[in-house]
Amino acid sequence: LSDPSTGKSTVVQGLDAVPADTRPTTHEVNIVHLAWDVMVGLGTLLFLLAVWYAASWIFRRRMPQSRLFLWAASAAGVLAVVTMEAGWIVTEVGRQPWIVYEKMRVEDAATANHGVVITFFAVCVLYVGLAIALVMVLRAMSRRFRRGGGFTDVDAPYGPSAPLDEATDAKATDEKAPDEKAPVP
Amino acid sequence: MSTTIAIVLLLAVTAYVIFGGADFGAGLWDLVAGGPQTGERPRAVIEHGIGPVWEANHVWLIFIFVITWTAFPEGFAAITLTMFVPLTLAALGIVFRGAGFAFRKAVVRTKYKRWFGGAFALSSLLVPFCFGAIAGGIASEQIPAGGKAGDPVSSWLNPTSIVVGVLGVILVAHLAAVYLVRVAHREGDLEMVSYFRVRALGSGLLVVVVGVIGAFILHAKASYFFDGLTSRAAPLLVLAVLAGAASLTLLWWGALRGGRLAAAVAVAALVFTGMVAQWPYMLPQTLKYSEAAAPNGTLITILVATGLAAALVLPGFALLYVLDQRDLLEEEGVADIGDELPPAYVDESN
Repeated sequence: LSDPSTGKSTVVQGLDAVPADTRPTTHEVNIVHLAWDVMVGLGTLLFLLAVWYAASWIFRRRMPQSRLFLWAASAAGVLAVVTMEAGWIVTEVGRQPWIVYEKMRVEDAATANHGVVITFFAVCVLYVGLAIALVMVLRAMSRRFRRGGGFTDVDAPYGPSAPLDEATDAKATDEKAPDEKAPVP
Repeated sequence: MSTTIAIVLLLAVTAYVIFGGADFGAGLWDLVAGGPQTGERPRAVIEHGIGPVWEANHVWLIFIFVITWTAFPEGFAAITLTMFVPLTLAALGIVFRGAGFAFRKAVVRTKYKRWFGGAFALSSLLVPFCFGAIAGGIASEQIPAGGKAGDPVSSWLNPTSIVVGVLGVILVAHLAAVYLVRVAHREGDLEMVSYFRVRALGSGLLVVVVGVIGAFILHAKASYFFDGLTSRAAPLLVLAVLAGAASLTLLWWGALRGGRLAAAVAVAALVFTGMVAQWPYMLPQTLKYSEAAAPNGTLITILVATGLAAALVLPGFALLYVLDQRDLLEEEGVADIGDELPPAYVDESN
């Protein structure tokens, strides 16, 4: 291997260059490997999805019409989070056993206090509770919204700022797709 | 160099107490405002008063943490190691508070408003107490240095911590009441003006009472801090007392604007007093600021970064506060159809 900017060859370090007590375990290596594959694989697929949309927009002036694209687009939100989490696993497991490379090990940096487990569970409970409350509040807002008659005002949050009937059309069909008109609520 | 950073830290703590502290105090008045009927108008004033600024004010807390752990890592490690219980409680309280405040606006039924309002108000009580208790624990020398943890309970539940925690709660409540007088005045709600003025005067007198009790406890339990209080920090303490007296007098006379300024000066002077009283120690008689400080290169970098951040952030803050004071900000959130439904529907669960 050589660095194109200098032309000098790079020395590839083998695992035997690392002292045995600072090597990651096989288990950790496997986790990093898998997480890396997930991160790069999903990241590439998400990128290709964007390319698909861009190509369709450039050549046909409309979003892709296929069902596959819609499924992929719906999944993209969750997959983006999965990709991000996989990336975190790569960094955090990949750094083991160091918290600061060659300066400080994770076990030396960790607090000596015993209550950390309690904190961990308290934070988990708090955020699960917040997530449940958030979903319930959003659902209640949506119910009230529909019971109140849906869009009564063009000034809906993040909604299109067009007159009512046009706005409903535009919302239901998004881009120029006249044959996919959704039923008006 | 470490002195300069310590002053930056002091200014940040002062800003957090004056601006953020008042938000916690407002939550306290929300807690004691009474049932849904009697409490409706004070709560509306509170919501209106802190709605536009309460998230922005937490910038100061984050700034304080970042400065402490980058500039004084030894001190930060010692404080967090010993004080992790109140720090965790404060962190959970801040999350609860924000969520409760935000969700309360989004629900219409009284039952749910009560739940979320309760979360908001109770954590408004918890957080200033925890921060005060930490300050009291530091002043009364409960925190060992050098990577050893102090007692996780008695380090922040001892007489000094408790009295400083209680003082913190009452102080922010007083500050909030003084500000809310002004908010109510701006809204032209004269009844609420006198409502909060009574509370501002009452809590101001309570600050004096708790302060005097605190002085005795500090004398007994925090000798280095108390010595500082009567020597190094004495002029600042006098300033705090004078400004506090001026604030209460002006409020009594109905000079709301001057009263608010004097109250802020009094509280700022009190924060300065606390820090100067234990100078040059970050942890009295254990760790000096100069000993806890990071290497000079780090400190210079932090100073430059602080200058840049100030240049970027302070104009935004100034604009936010000016717009808020002139009532030019929209209410948080979006008007909701549910808000206009008849009360019969809203209260169907009760």
